[in-house]
Amino acid sequence: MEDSRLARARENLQKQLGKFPQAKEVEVIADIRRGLHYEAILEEASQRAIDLIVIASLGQSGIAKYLIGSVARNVLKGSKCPVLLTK
Amino acid sequence: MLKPTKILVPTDFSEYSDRALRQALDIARQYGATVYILHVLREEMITLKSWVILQMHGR
Repeated sequence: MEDSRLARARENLQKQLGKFPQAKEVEVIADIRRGLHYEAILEEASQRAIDLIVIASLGQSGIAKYLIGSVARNVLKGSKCPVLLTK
Repeated sequence: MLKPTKILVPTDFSEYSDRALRQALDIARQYGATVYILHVLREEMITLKSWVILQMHGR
């Protein structure tokens, strides 16, 4: 069951990247982590020495009454590098 | 002036994250940066498998 979640995530990453032809002109590295969303994102950022995070202000839950979802908010709060929130 | 070299884009595969990815790719192309696209699987407190084992031992 764990493996199928992982396989599905890999498939979805490929599918999402496939929507953007410009991805072929850029070096793209795909990663999957487990854990709490914002914690995993901040860990990845520090381990990869990321210098910019681009994150949607809302996610899957898409509760439109909020301007910024909890993941984006916590990433913004904990990040050591600049964060670009997209609409 | 910010000149990004490594850009992280977290994704949950929603349309919102499509837009974030598009922006990140555009910025990366402009600066010759690398894009790290990350999906986080939420850690379940208890997996189905361990739940089944617990149920079996309970009987």
